[in-house]
Amino acid sequence: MSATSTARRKAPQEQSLWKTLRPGDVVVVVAVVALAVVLWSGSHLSAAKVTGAELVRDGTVLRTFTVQELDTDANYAFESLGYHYTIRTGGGRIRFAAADCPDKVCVQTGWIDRPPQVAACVPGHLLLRMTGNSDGVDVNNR
Amino acid sequence: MSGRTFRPPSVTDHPHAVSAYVRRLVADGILVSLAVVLSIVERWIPLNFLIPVPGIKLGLANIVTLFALYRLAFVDAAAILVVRCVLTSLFLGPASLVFSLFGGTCALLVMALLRRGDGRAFSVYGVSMAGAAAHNIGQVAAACLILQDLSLATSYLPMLLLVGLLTGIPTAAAAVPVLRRLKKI
Repeated sequence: MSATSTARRKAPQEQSLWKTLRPGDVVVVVAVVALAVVLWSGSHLSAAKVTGAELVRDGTVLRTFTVQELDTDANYAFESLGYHYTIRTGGGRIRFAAADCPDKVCVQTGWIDRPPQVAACVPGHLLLRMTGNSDGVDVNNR
Repeated sequence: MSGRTFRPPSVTDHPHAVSAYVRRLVADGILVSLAVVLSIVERWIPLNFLIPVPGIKLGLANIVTLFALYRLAFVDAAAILVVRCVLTSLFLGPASLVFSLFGGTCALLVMALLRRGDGRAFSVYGVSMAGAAAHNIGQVAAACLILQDLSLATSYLPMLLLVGLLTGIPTAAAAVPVLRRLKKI
């Protein structure tokens, strides 16, 4: 490596964005969109009938919510791995209403009301998901 | 660029080799501090007002990974990534460490792969977008492992992938002028 010269070098000419782009970039966009569509259609295309919701931790169901429970306005308190959660139901929907976990992604997810929607709190290992069935199709991908 | 190995110089080495090594070490240190700052600053950007997907972020620290991949070497980028993740978790809490490491490693490997061929096949934009997608895949994979449930991959990952395409563009747009001006480090 040579010693850097102190002489001020001219800044290189900015190229336009369209000249910068390469054919592979299109491949990246198409591939990512295709992957997203495939993953999405794998679960969302089947119109499932809601059978309730369940709260899962590490693969085991902690609590099942029936359709009647989802229709009733109520708060449920849960504790998991030292974090405290309030789960709210009402109007056929369910959500994490409050949590003291670090990132609050679970609360930001908001209401979920039909499968395969989920709300997850990774720090507390909690997964709240809508359950449903549609003519024998396993909508939970389990 | 000063060699691609990570061998510390010995006293018998030529002085130029020693100074090149020190220069590279200093560059890595500066890039680590820059990456840590960017990781913290991006938390202040309320991206959720624009795109209502929970848990998304711009991925500003990826600018540093991009720069290290293009102007230093893979080992530098990997070392900067690991040190950045550990330091950031000291500031922001240890819960995110597994995710940033998992996602960051996936992004680094994919970007290193696409970066080969020196920009003939992929521009910085393509590399950045693919890195963002790989980062999201890695994070959701880590979440699926922890929760022992695959439903996040179908319900949450598609949205994240599309958002990653969008957030990969400003990161690359920030990296491109820097790369163009700093040919040598």
